Amino acid sequence: MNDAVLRVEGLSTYYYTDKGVVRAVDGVDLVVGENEVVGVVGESGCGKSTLAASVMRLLQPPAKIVKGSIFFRNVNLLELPEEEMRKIRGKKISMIFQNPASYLNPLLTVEEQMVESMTLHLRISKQEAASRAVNILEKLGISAPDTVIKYYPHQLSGGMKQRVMIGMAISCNPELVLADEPTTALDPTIQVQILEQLLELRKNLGLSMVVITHDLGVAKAICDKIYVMYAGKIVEEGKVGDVFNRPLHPYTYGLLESALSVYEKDRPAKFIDGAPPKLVEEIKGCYFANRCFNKVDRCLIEYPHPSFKNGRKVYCWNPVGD
Amino acid sequence: MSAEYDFKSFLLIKVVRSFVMVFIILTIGFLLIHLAPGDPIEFILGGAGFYTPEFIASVRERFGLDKPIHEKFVIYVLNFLRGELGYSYVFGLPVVEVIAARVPPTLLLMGTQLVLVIVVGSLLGILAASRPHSKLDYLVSSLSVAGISMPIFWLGLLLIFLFSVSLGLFPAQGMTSLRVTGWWEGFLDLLSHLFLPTLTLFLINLGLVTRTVRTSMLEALRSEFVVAARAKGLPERRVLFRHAFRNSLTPLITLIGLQLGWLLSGAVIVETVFAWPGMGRLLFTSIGSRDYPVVMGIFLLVSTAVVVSNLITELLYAYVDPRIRRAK
Amino acid sequence: MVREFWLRFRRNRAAVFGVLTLAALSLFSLFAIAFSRYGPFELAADPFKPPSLQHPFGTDDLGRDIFVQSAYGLAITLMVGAATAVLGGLIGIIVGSVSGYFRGALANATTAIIEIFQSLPLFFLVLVIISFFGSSITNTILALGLTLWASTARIQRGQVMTVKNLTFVEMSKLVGEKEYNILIREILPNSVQPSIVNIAYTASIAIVVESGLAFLGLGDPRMMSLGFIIGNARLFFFQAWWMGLLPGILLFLTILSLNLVSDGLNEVLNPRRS
Repeated sequence: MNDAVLRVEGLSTYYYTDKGVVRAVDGVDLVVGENEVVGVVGESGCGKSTLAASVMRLLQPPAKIVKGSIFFRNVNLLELPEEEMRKIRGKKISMIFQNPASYLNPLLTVEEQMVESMTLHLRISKQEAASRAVNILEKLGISAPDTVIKYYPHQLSGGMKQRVMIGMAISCNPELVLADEPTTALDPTIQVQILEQLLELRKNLGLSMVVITHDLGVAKAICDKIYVMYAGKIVEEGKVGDVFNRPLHPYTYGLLESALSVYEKDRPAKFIDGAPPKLVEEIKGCYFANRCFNKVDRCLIEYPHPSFKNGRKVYCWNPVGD
Repeated sequence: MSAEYDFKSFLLIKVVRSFVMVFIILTIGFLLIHLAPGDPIEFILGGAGFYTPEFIASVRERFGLDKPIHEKFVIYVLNFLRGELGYSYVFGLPVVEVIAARVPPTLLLMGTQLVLVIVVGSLLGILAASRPHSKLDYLVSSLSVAGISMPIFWLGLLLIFLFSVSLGLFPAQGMTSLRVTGWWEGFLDLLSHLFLPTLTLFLINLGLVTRTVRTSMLEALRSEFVVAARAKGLPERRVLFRHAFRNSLTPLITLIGLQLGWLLSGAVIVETVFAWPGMGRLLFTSIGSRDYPVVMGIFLLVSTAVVVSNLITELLYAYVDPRIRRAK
Repeated sequence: MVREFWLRFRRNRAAVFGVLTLAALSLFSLFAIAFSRYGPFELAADPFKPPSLQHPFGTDDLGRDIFVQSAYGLAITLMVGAATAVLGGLIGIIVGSVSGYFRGALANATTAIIEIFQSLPLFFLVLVIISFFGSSITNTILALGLTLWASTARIQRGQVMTVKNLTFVEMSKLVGEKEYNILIREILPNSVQPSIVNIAYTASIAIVVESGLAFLGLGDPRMMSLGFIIGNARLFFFQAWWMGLLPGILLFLTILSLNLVSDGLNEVLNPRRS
């Protein structure tokens, strides 16, 4: 276990709002191995993005990490002073965001935005950084990169913006990349291109990655291992193939069914009824119980203990197919 | 349509609009002169009793006062374009010359004050916004409201009482002292006279600037590109200034550019309180001595300055934000 | 709705302080005027008497009671603020609504007029009007009201343009409701809140300008105004500090409270904030 790049243990991040405490991330464990791509899958609002922001320690009040630890190469990030953490951000761990249009600074050129992290972290000159940036963009499939680099974000198409975002994330040779819904804001054809780009990066650079997505297709395409998250908790984890072929948790099962009904026309549409619980309420028992088709009495009384099976882990009293 | 063309036509529209605006201001001035009770000659010559009937007749001729109203208007506009704004009977000089002599002191006072206010106000606003709901933020916000609510003349009097009467540190009246020799001594003398009027305007406008910067910074700090900048590991100072502050400049430019008229009204009162020999004090004394041509001349000049500053503001928006510039 | 408004407004302690202060200042002014033994221009005692029990704010260079003067001045100040707010507010809401609701020439013309008035240097225009037409309280209020409406109109215009495209308005058009009925019954009640906030700010600007005029000696010579008292005190500041200090505090408190109330209203009524 010690060769893990990232090891999150019992992490809880709460939002302290006027209306109560929202348990956005609630006791999450997660491991990312060397050169491994890990997916975190769930509906929007299940806490995936908060999980990524927690790892980067980019949370703003009212969000607060209340307990747990985040080991990056066996160093607990939560114990680092802010200044040390800052040196890790963008250098060792970098992030790709969901909506490149709003995450790129509209008033700075692509060059200015790409160069600033390189001069800071790699201690190279502006000229060197600029030519590096051109190289990276070229590798990411941008034609005429030395023109594009002088552009402002509003002059770029959505796919180009996301490539620039990715280029920025990998510009300082990070060891871990967190990609938060990297393709969601893009057109379907562009999505495929960006996914291929990410796969290639992984192959060429030996990156470890955490891909956060609500899109099971994306997870299936690029991940080795996935974690299914529901209402702030991990409900199931395992190798991509295993989980997709034989989901154990009823929630995973439901997600897959509804996704498949979109892809395959003659399959009857199946969606999960109801809504996730508001994360403010204190709930006894399984959080998914109110929507579950497979629930037993125990589900309403006690939160499920994990059960292990062939290297898989599921939090359910009555897994699917047992 | 090329991007270049877009920006040029944008510019052209703004310039044309500014000319229309100046024309409208002239119309308002013309209407006021002719609607006000009394002989319009009063508003061109001031105390008409001072002059010989022949001179008055020649002025009537030159300003077309005997002609029908539409011809009068045309002559009035042409005169304005030639810089003919009438005569000041108090000074015995053309209005343009009287006003021109008073512009530099006002520029000095306004310029010094504006530079200080923009720098200090921006820093305080950024500081307050970077620690929202902290004690510092609370203090800065309270002081801002207090500054905005302070009657400027009253603050001026209090400052005179404190710095001039009680402490005897700074002169309270005028711009220069008599009997000062040497350029260095003269410069120090000017600075010491500049201190109190500048401080008064500074304290009044500081709240306005701080508040504006704080609000727009809070918004900028919530935006996602700031999160992205932090995720790059940039030092907080760089995030604040290069990423957030640059993106929150527009409201500040709007405040300074579009409120020039309001800022100048503060100067009228401050110049009066501190007997600062600028345009504002000239306006005040001219109203008192019924030197109407000077009053109207200052109104036209200030209004035109406001139009020009609005135009510059639009250009600055384009300079700050490439999305407006849309140039290659 | 009123109850909900108050519940939210109450949370802003500064705004509540503003409301209470404004109420206290009005009451003070009313009672002081009702029970005072002298008029504001009447000689009450020896000149330059410092504050005492008999004359809480002291007397001025002619021996007039500054406490009484301040009470009258405060009344004038509040009246000018209120009158300007009503006048400028009405003009602003009417012009803004027309400009936002209708299309074509009428909309273009009103929009242009709003823009022109917004870029005129207000204080200077008022100074010219007062100087040309004479300084009376009516002229001051008219000049202020006729110049201070443009910002309200611009806000109202934007609001109406948003609201008129909402479903319930479209619905009443389909049902065949008359244009002005739609404007008055449906659109106005749903668009006017941000304008009200602006009108409150307008009142405090009006007071600032009026007191400035009075300070410069351009107020109504028959009306005692706080600005006038301070303007008069300016000449004697070195020998009689009380002449300007206490009336100034009253003026400051008035403007401050108005600004705090406006900020509070802004928080509650301006939808962009929440």
